[in-house]
Amino acid sequence: MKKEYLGEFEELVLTMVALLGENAYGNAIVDEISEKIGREVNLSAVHVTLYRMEDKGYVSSEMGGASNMRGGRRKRIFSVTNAGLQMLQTLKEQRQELWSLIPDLKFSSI
Amino acid sequence: MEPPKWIIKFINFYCPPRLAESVIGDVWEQYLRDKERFSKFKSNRRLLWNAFRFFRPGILLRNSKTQLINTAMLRINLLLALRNMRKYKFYSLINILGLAMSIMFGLLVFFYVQNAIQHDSFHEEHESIFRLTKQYRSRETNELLSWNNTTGNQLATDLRNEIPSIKHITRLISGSGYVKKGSETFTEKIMLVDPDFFNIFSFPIIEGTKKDPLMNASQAVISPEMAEKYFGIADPIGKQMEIIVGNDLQSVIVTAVADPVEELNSLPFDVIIHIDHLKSLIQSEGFLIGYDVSFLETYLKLNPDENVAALEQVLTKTYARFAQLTEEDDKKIIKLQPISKLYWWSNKFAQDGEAITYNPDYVYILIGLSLLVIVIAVLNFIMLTSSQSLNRIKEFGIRKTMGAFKRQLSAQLLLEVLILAMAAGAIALVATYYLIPVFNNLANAKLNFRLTGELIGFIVILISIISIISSLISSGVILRLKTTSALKGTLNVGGSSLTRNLMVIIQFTFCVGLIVGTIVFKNQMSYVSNKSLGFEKDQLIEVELPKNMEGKAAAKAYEIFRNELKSNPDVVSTAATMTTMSVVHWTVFTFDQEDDSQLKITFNLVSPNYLSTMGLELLSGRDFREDDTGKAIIVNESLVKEMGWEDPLGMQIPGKDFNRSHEIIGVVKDFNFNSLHTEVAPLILATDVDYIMEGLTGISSYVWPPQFFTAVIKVVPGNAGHIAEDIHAAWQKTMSDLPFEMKYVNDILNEKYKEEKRYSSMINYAAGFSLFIAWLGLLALTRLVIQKRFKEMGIRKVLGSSSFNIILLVARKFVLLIGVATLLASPLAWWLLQDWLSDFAYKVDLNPLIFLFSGLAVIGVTFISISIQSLKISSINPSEALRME
Repeated sequence: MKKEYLGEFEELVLTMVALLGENAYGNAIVDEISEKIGREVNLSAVHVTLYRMEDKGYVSSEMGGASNMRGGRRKRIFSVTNAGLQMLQTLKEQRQELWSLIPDLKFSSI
Repeated sequence: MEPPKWIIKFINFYCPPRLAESVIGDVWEQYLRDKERFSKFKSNRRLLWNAFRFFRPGILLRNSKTQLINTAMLRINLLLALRNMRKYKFYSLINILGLAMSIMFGLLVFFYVQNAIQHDSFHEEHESIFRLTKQYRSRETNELLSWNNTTGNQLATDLRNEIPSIKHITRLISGSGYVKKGSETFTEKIMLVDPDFFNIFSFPIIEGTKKDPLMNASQAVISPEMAEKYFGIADPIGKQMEIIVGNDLQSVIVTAVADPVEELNSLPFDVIIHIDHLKSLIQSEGFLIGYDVSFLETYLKLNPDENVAALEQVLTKTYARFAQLTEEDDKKIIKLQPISKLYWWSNKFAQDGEAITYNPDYVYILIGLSLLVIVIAVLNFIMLTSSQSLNRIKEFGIRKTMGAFKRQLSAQLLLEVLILAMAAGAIALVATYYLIPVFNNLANAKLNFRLTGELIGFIVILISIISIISSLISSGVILRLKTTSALKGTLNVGGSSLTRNLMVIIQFTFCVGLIVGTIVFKNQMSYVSNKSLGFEKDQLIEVELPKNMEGKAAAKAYEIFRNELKSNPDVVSTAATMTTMSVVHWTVFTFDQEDDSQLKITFNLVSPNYLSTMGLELLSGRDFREDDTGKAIIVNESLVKEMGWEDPLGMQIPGKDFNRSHEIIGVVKDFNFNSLHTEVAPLILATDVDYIMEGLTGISSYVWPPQFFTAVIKVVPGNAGHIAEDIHAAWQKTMSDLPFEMKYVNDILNEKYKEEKRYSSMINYAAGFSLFIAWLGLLALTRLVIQKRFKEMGIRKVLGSSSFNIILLVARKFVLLIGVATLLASPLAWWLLQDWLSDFAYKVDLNPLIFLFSGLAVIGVTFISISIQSLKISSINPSEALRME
């Protein structure tokens, strides 16, 4: 089995799912991305990414509560699986390891 | 507060059911939040945008993917298809090659037809541009007597004032004229038009005044080619140009350079000048006013929503009023010919005129042939796939036992065919790209390879049709076979199948028909080009006389030129004529009769020794003499026949307006001056036009005025180069710096039938092409049959059969099939060819031997193909064949 990788956007969405916990569904993730890092993303892109990661086994989904705001439609609530958490963890460790290898970061203006 | 229902429905429609609910919910929620922030309109727009953003493969194909395309099976099928292609290289190659060639042929014809259809459509609002044409109909029977594309000079001006729904109208006449560059003079195609011309036609103006570039007689618009020729790289706008129109040297200022859009334009030009110059071209005042004499064309532009049929009636009435037509005259009906019909010949309009025209018959033949080529390639394809799949019968048997549905096996076949067809399509596209210049050369076309949507659509449709038809038929043949017998190997693989025999017969029918068609076509063409025209065309030279002189001066110039040539021992005789053999439409005179009927006779003005120079044969009477008065005329056999004269000598052309007597002094044997498609028309030859002109009531002409335009020189055979130099020297001595143009009449006639020759060679190529593809199929088929019977042949050989016997064994069945095919093809081909030949006034007979020969030729080729393949078997040791397993 070849090693799975996560794309940048996938990683972003996965992190948001982890962050939002019980309340992780399409719109919430779009809002959260906009709020936390100021990036406007399209709803459909988030959906497609979520489904793709579901295929890969990093997130799982179940239908949540309906509301009037949604024309009576239920939400699909996503949650991070163990494999997903593992992936995030690995990614973070890799980053840190790489950062530690960068020789003294100094800003030239000092 | 709810979002528009249709958008929600739209999402519901494309979204897989499992996802629909949450997607719609999310979209809904976002919409409501948008509405708090934005206007209703903007929210709706954002919602729609969202709906479209969700319309993407990641959503569309999710979950439903397994039903839509089975990716796993697709991979395996693809692999199998490629493996099969590699395993049966020979058949795949023939399949791809045959298909690629046929698709390429289809593409070339596609480009050709596209170009023909798009002719003249580059003009803005080209649907509302028309040429004004006249139909002559009998008053009593309403029978169509003739068409005419020319009108009188006054018509356009009168109509402009009379009928407000004509937005723009222009007269148009063109001819070759002289343009001076320093001391040199060149012949160019000069077009005379009204200023409105540029409001009707939108030839792209490359440089200079874009709007109304031609305001008055001192201006000119030229083509880029002319700009380069006369002004080089300098800016031509505002420069002076010296043009000789008629007898007058005119200097005009270039106001614009317009592109004649060569590849799509039927009205070519080099230089366009104002119609006022007509005065210099035509001296007789009577021509410029009045309605009897038609010599120029009229084009008009209407409002886009104009009712054309109604306007035609109004025009017909107005015309009758202008021309003062009486109850006795033939009906003249004005018809408006859309400019899209200029290029294609159509039965509804006359074909002569300023516009380049084009016989669509040959295009239909080409389209038919390209369809035939494709059908043959598809037949090959089906025969090969179905027969060759018998090799794979075990594969299919096993797959069926393992639970494959028929549908899945068909899908695999379709995929295999599709791969081959797409490969063929790609090859065809590339080949077409490289072959277009060759084709342009062959067909004298100006096609460009453009990757347009239409082209892609065409090729996709072509490939789909080919793939679907061939995979349907071949899967029908293969999958009908019983699974058990396939696995047991008891299936008679070499055996006959009705479907296959039928296809072989169809294929051979096409081949025999094609061969017959090609032979007859070739025979007819060589018959036409070798048929005696009634004059001696060899060693005959035409030299164009000066165009810038009026009648008397031109005759004088000709005399001096002739005297100069007299001393040359190589020149047998020199004559002068108004109309040459290169002109298809000779000037036709109309004479009104006492009973108010009209007599139409072709006219030519000649010098007294014309007949002897041309080698024309006199049937009765005598030739012109140098000391004859202009009274003497000679008529042709057809005229005598048409008038029903017993003894025409001393008679007159009947006509109520004749006063002075002219006299028929001789009858010349019919010679062909128009085209071999038509019978020889009645003709008058005269040395002086005055005696004929007085009885004249109408002219339809593209050669005018009646004066000598061409010298005809008969020379002795041999030393052609030396003669050409002599004639040129004589010209320079007498005509000084005027351009010199000489042509052998033989070359002119070749030029005249060039289009036909060109098509004949194109059709030959096409036929050869389809025969080659058919032969490829035959080769593969016989190879297949032989391979199937490899073992059987080995045994026969061991038991003492000769190689020839073996060949005969295989060939026997094919000979039978070809026999049936010949019987089928003969009546079909006979009927089609008879139809085509009926167009010609002079035609070859259809010899039954041709059909027999074609059948035998196909049998011969089949025999050779089988022999080559069988020899391989004969040459190897039979034990090898028997050992094989």
